[in-house]
Amino acid sequence: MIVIVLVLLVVVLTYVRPRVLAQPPGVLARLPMLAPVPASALTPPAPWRATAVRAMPAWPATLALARTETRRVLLSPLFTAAVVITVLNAVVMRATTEFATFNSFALGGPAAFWAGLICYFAGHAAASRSRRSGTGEMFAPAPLSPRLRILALALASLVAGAVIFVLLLAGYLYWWDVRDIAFTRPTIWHLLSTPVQVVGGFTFGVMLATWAPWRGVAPAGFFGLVAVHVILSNTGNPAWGAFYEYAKWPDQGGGFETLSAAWHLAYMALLCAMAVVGAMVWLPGRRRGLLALGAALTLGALGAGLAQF
Amino acid sequence: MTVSVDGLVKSYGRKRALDGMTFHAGPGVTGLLGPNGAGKTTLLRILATVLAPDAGRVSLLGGDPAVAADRLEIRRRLGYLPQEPGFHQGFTAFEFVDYVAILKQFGDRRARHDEVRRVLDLVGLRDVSGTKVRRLSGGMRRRVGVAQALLGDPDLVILDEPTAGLDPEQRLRFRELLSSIGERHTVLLSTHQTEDVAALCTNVVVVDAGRARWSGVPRELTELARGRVWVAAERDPRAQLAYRTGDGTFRHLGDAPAGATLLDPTIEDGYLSLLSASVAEVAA
Repeated sequence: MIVIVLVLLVVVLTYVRPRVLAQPPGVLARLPMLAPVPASALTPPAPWRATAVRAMPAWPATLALARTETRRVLLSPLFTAAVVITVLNAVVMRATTEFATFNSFALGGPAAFWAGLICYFAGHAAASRSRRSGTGEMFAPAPLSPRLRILALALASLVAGAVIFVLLLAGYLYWWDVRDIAFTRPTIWHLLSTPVQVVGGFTFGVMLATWAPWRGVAPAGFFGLVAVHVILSNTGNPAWGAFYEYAKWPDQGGGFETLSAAWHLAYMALLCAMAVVGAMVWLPGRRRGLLALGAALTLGALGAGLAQF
Repeated sequence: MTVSVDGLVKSYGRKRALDGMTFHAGPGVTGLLGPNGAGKTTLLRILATVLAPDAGRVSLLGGDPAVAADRLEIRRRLGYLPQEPGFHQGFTAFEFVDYVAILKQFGDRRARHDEVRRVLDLVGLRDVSGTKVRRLSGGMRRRVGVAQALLGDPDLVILDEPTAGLDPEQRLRFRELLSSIGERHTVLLSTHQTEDVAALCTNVVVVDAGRARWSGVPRELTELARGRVWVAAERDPRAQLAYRTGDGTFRHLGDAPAGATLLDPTIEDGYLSLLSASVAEVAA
């Protein structure tokens, strides 16, 4: 049902909405259906006149841009793939695993791990769109600063994370009856930690695209992440897992590990914020405030990481 | 003056693109005319606040683009079409212009969408506004670029070769559009099309080797070649410039060849007469 609704939503937003927006409202109101509008039905070309539209402050414009970016991210093939994989993963796991629980599905990592990985590429694609299409010079004189454009992408990633969260919650409510499970129930911190991987993947992709605006950086960054993961997991010290594992609470029959889920969430959220600030500080403009913020976030992330134990 | 440039210098490594450029432009349509590599695009990029000059002074709309607060205000009143505009291929024409409108911090969504429809109407793209950019022809994409530059009725419109790739009908419509904008605002455009300058511009600046070689009204540029344009049956090797025309005769610029007939000059003759170095190169 969820998949059907999502598919319908994608079709409407991708194919119908742009055509509706492109038509003048007056003409649309007279049309019985969304048929092509004959030229004769349109109003004559607008004369050159002073426009009624006026510039607004940066923050409302940033939110408007965030809405646009959110729509584009949610409708992108990459995010659609992330959603499909998340749903398929849940269905397959439920069908094939005898003692499937929400813990093993979501908090054990596979669902949001793949979504986070795909959203890393989605974030990179969104942030590198201007470079790839050559619109940099055209957009350069626009008043909305490149830093605020990065912030708009970060806000879009929050919505992407929220969508994955809703999917996981749906799985939680519909496919796993946690009252019959002997294991520990997940807290809200456990639940939130999983979709944060989506936000983290997306914002890391944005940061990398900003830092290294070159072709081939996205796959290189991916292999870099894998390499870091492999190196840390081979240290022989399981404590490192609190810092790099995509999920920290494997369900091995004994309930959640005793590490603090709230601190783990804080740790990951601070990493996301670091990625956003890291991307913004790279762009032209005054850096002192952002550097201070970045330093505070780094210290915060370090503190939150240690506070997990 | 809306645009005031004084002693502008810009280099790319050892290559000096602008070498003491000085000129002024006010309301109306000012055309920058010059050969390839003359520095027109670099000048327009600086005026669009995309590039910073190495030296010299720039005043735009009463502000100094080197000052951050002034630069923001200038950008709010500026429309810019680069020479090689890129487009987000997956966007529709409407979505793309709407995206630029957001970057220009335009107000509430309904007013912004009305404004996007208006500028798409102005460039004759209403019927294809819901079509993806990747499916538009090169000329249509150019018009999408022009549309985004006209968003918000900007006080200063900077267009780098805006008529490149437009068909004759669209070029006429475009000239009419820019003329009407130029009645109230300042339009600055670069072009290789001398007929565009003659038909459209109230002022013209001839740019060569990073400097403004000449400025004035198009009629004065044409008059520079008065009494120096001839047509003859054979090419005269002594001519400053001679080239074969469609009817098999040879058009000469310079002193009168034997048996030649004096012609009324065009703006192209005036331009070529001015750029003697370029003329010599063409003649060779």
